[in-house]
Amino acid sequence: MTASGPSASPGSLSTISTDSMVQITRNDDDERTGPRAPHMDQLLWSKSKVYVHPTAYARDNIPGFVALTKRDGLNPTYLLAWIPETLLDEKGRDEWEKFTKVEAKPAELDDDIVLVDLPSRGESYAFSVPLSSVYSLIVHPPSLSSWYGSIGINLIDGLNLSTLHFHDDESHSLTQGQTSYSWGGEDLLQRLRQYANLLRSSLQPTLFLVDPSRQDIETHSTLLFNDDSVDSILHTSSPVPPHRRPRPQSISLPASPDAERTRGHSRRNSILHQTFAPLAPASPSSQARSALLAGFSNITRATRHAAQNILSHPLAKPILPHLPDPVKSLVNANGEWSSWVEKGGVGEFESARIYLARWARIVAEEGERSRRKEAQTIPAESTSTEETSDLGVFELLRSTISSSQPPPKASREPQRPVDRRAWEKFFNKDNSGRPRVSFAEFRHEVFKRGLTPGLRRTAWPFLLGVVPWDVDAEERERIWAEKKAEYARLKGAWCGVPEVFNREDILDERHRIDVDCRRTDRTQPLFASVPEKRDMASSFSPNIQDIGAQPPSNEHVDTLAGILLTYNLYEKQLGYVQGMSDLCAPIYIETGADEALTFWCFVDVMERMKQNFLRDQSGMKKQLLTLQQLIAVMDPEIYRHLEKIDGLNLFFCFRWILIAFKREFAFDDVLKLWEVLWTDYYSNQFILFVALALIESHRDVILRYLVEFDEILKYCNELSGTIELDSTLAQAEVLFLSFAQLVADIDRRTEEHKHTRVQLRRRKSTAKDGTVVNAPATPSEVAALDKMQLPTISENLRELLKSGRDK
Amino acid sequence: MGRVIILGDSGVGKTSLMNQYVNKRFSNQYKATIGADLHVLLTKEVMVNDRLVTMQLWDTAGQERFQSLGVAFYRGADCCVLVYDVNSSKSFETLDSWRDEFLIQASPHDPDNFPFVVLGNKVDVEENKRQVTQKRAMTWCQSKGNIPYFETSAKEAINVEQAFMEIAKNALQQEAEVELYADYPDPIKIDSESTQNYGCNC
Ligand SMILES: Nc1nc2c(ncn2[C@@H]2O[C@H](COP(=O)(O)OP(=O)(O)OP(=O)(O)O)[C@@H](O)[C@H]2O)c(=O)[nH]1
Ligand SMILES: [Mg+2]
Repeated sequence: MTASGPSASPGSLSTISTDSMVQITRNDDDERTGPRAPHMDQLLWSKSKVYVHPTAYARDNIPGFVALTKRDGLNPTYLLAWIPETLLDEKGRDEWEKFTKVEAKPAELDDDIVLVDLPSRGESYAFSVPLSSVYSLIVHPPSLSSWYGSIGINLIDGLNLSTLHFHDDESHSLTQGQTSYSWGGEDLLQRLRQYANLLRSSLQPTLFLVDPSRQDIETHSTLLFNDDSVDSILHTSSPVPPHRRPRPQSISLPASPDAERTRGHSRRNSILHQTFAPLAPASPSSQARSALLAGFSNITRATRHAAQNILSHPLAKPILPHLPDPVKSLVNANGEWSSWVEKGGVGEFESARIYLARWARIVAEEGERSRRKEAQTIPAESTSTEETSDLGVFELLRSTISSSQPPPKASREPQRPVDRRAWEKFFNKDNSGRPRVSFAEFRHEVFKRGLTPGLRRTAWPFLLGVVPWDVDAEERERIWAEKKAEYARLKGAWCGVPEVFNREDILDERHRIDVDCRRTDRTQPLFASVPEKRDMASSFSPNIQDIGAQPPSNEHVDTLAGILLTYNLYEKQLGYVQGMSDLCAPIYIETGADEALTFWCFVDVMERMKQNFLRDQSGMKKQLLTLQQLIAVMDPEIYRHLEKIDGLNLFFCFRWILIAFKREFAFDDVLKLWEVLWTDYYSNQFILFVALALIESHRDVILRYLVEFDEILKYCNELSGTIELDSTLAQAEVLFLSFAQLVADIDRRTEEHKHTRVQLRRRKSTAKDGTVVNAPATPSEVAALDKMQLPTISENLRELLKSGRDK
Repeated sequence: MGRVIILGDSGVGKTSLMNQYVNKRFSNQYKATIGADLHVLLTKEVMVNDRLVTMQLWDTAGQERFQSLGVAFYRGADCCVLVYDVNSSKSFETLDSWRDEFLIQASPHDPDNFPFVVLGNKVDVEENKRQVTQKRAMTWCQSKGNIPYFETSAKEAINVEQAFMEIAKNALQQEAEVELYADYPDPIKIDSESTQNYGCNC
């Protein structure tokens, strides 16, 4: 930066105010002519809160106005100027108002002329230079790494002026929203184009040449500044290293029929950048846009919360001016978004990229929703492909490998869960308690429809196998009575037996269990109450020595802990592992605090999930490896991305799998999800398809924004509480079906290949003389076959196709 | 950017301390940190020597079983925070093994001078419940090379700001020193070695 700083300038403020002049301090020949006569120029356009950043420290930033002025003469000269607020302060209120007035309403031909006197160059980085002396501009629109965006100015004489940073958020508040919704720098460029020819260099996309020479035009030739260039600049010019740059990958803006037609003009690569487009009020594309955006007002509560949280974040400030109004109305709406923040536990500081990714996700979701809504209102437009296009990726996938069959569809009908009446119809009317439908049919119904909350207590024991399905009521009673007695016996081994209860190793386990139960689902009514006058210790917790200061317990918390301790003695090899309380608590609640029933249901749940808690973590490793392989065949692009960012270990899915999404969904949704998983309807490891569905529904964001392993981790951890269950399950189902199809397809083709090879080898051809000779496959033919290498389906992957209890 | 890892027994208040520092809030609804939850990463700009920096705080699980995952994250740490509950002498007695484990797994260039900070948490609880005296804690800290020691309460926000200020300072100093080693592995990357450690065959 060559503009002189305040320290380098001997000029004093008093000189300035008396002469309406600025002391020139630079060594420029053309300006060393001493104080010049004041020029009164017409102020054409101005923008407030444009900063000069003299040092890296924010405290040194200097706010000011950037302005375009016109100096009358034989040939009017147009000037580009920047003036610090401090200089305007010196000149008084009136001078300020000139600038803010013009900012609110830029001068048109017949307007009152606003005259100002601007310093040429010098004091506090102020400058005003004729456009004819500007050689080029370096344009950095707001990007993920720099919030404000900047424009650097190079002069023909080779000097450059202070880089201008557009703090649009502040500017916006200053002018009470009268400015346009585009980036301040873009406004300036648009305006400049009225007075000069701007050429964007094809060599360096951040470079804009001002009134370029013929020679420059040839070297830098490319189209003039147009609507899309900001986009392209964003993609190419950020100072972010290439691998960290957001990729110009399509998070396709939901296309309404209208938008489709005007695609060439208004389609942008990303919703994020789309907001930087100037809003042309009457153009056809903007009509499409407003139709689209009308959908924003119909958003669901859950997402509204998410949006509020994100948009009310301090980091969101620079973006706000660019948001469409319906979205903007969410900002600081009188909602309970603070509680949302609390739940997310993320609060005020997180990295800008992840934050942006979440924002982009929300906008994308809203767009999608409104697109679907539009599709509904225009039935003619909704073709059969419409439904499946919601499910995005695997269409892509299908087209590459498995194009022969129709795309699979989701079959669930969660809106009509199995209720008591439907349940009773599963059984004979003779009161024998014998079922009329098969266990498989029952599980299918649960998979498809789920259960009403009141029915869970009755149906879960069947589903989990605590009591058998294909027997009569009497037999069932007998079996249950046995189990109940067995539980009493198991519990009796420690309860009321101090030698066991206070044994060293049991004390350790009690401590672990106690600490966790006191922190598990305490918002659920059963666990929420805390009796008055309760000491920190409880009937369960180990003596006060060891528990430290934990939140108070209650009767149910203690019972839960007791169940876990009993399990600990029942299943000796595991020991208590964190996460078990998360799995047990919902069962306790749904069985209505029935201790024995909770225990046995929990035993069966753990039968399914024991592998997750093994000391050597082998079960978790195996599942994550399988998921990794699943991603590799189902979405190679995501796989490669994860590979590149060292994310293939899938740490970010660890918690999902370990406790079956307990922490990711709302409590009621967890129950719905679990009963679906317990049906083993499609696959005994359906949970991996749920995980895949989640990754897939965030794939664009992941590919585009999450370019470090820790970013993906943080992003996924914070999805908690924002995920819609039913659409995720629908996606998981379609993914499973696609996977099954894919495997069948690959197997079929592998067979075909084998066959072809054999035929090639045996191929005979008939020579001219009629004799038959051997004509083995040429090397190129073999190579062609090898090139069609089909993905191999590992044993782990084949296991995913196992369902039911056929272990 | 300073990378900080927080270790200590389950329930001593690691998650609560971080949330108090980062979000200025305490809630007794925090759940046990399990598995990959241990990587919850929060960044905060802190004023250190008048400079704005970013800190990454890695919350880990208290249970040993999940530590095999955490190990992958030990390596890039610039500062290690050891937390115990002043009302539980047991949680204090395990500090030794937390520290040793960290030094073995992270294998910093200069183990003797690697910055640790010790926090004795939950000092808001009645005095008669207290099990570890300040003197005992400070003696331990001195014997381990003068580790800075703070008594905190995540609940009442006592000393939290000050403690994390010290942590940030240490992390930044360490980071600056580490940068001198040109061949030092990029701390953000989970390198192949630690991936193997985790065993995902990736
Ligand atoms: N009185 C008091 N209680 C606290 C304080 N800090 C944490 N707690 C409580 O102690 C319990 C455990 O706190 P966490 O922050 O979850 O502990 P942690 O160290 O993260 O535990 P793990 O994640 O299992 O390793 C919670 O119930 C907190 O409410 C404190 O300063 N004072
Ligand atoms: Mg924790």
